[in-house]
Amino acid sequence: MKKKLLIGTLLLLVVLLTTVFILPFNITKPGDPPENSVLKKEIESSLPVEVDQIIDRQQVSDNHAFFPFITEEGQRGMSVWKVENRKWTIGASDNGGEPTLWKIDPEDPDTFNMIYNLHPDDGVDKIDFYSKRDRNYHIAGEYQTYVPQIMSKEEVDLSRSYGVHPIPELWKELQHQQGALAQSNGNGRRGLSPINSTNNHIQTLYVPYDDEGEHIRLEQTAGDHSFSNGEQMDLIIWMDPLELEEEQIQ
Amino acid sequence: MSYNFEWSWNLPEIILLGIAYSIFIIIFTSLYKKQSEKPHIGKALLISFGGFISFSIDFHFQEYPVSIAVLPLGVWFLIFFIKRSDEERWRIYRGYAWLGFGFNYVFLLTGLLTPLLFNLMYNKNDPTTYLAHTDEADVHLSHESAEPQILHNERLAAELKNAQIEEFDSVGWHREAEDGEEKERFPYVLSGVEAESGSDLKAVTFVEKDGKGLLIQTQNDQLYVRTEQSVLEKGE
Repeated sequence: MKKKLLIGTLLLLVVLLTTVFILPFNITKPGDPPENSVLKKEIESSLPVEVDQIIDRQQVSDNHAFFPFITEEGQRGMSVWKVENRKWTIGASDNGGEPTLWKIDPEDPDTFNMIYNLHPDDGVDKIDFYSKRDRNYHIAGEYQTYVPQIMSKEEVDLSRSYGVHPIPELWKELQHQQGALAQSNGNGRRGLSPINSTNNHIQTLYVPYDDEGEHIRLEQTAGDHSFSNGEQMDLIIWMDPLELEEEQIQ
Repeated sequence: MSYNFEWSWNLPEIILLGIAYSIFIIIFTSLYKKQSEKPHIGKALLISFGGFISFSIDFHFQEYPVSIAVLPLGVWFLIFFIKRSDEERWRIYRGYAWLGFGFNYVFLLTGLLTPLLFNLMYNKNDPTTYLAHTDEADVHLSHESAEPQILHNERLAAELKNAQIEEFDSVGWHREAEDGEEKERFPYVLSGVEAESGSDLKAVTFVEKDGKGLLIQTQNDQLYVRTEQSVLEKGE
């Protein structure tokens, strides 16, 4: 009888503790991101800049938001925020606005976003983003492997000079497919073939154009300081237009 | 290296594991029935799990991980703690501990049988094993040098039945594209294709620019298939 009572009390305690500690995390929403003044202060403490203005507040999900800003010196910068322990906290910031791949969950391509905040002096009219995997081949004894090049384009129209775009569905699909191949499955086949090792890497690149359709470089947009509080921010690489020509694209 | 906790099971593995656990239950219950002095059944189970713990050597058989148990660490541990304090009790539980250890070898056996059963059930050299369900399939442009096209699903299914696996020259293909003589040979990729049910096989399939070739990248091989007719068609 005593034993039963003890077990009963323990069970009750467990249930109570779960309700008190875990449920609020799932039920209460974190609410809106903080006021601009709070954002400014936090960004300034993460970078050697004075923020003049937060240009926009774009919420990507309940727990993530993107804030492009302008500094006192007219530089374009970006900051991403996330909810941690039910509180909005700074995730990363940069005093440049060059295209960046923001991987909210680095394991899950569905959460990847491309962000940028372009300086008007660069005169960018259009950006083409590319997902690229290098062409390759392997020969091991009688086994041959040909790795086709992936070069998939996503055009972004710049009616606004800043933005946050989820990567296209096809890129997600491509990354999921490659991930499934590399992963070991119940059949116990963990990436023993060369295809799964090094050359399988998918990069993201960009090509900026001016209003005459000429390739340009982003000189004014580039920053020189970045800060990360655990968010994975991958640089999107400027692509040499020669590469497009060589691949007979356009 | 990152690790995804995504369980994936293939049918042969499930079958063999099912057999292994059935064997365990049969031996366990017969052991229990034979005893005149019955142990606590939950404790007996726990002792079996403890006995399972061992020092073992891991290796791969046909790329399938198996391990050979060498030292019965769990059994020794139990001997140390139970036998020393109560010899009589140990006599009742001993069998369950060794049953646990013995199970390392049952798992070794199923580990060795899994790839064999797998190869009996699925043919890894047959393209239709990887492209078994194509009703939901779709084609996408993966290289901008080609024009977008749409997939002719019925033709794909029909052509796959008679498709021939062909030899190919990976170096040559690579060179012609890198030298700019030819555009990328495989500018399309399939999505929504499923491998044969229960096989849990994964593949990425690229389609040749003329629509008559499929390059199927499996987990450790690559199959190149040519079809009679193009599986692609111009979109409206």
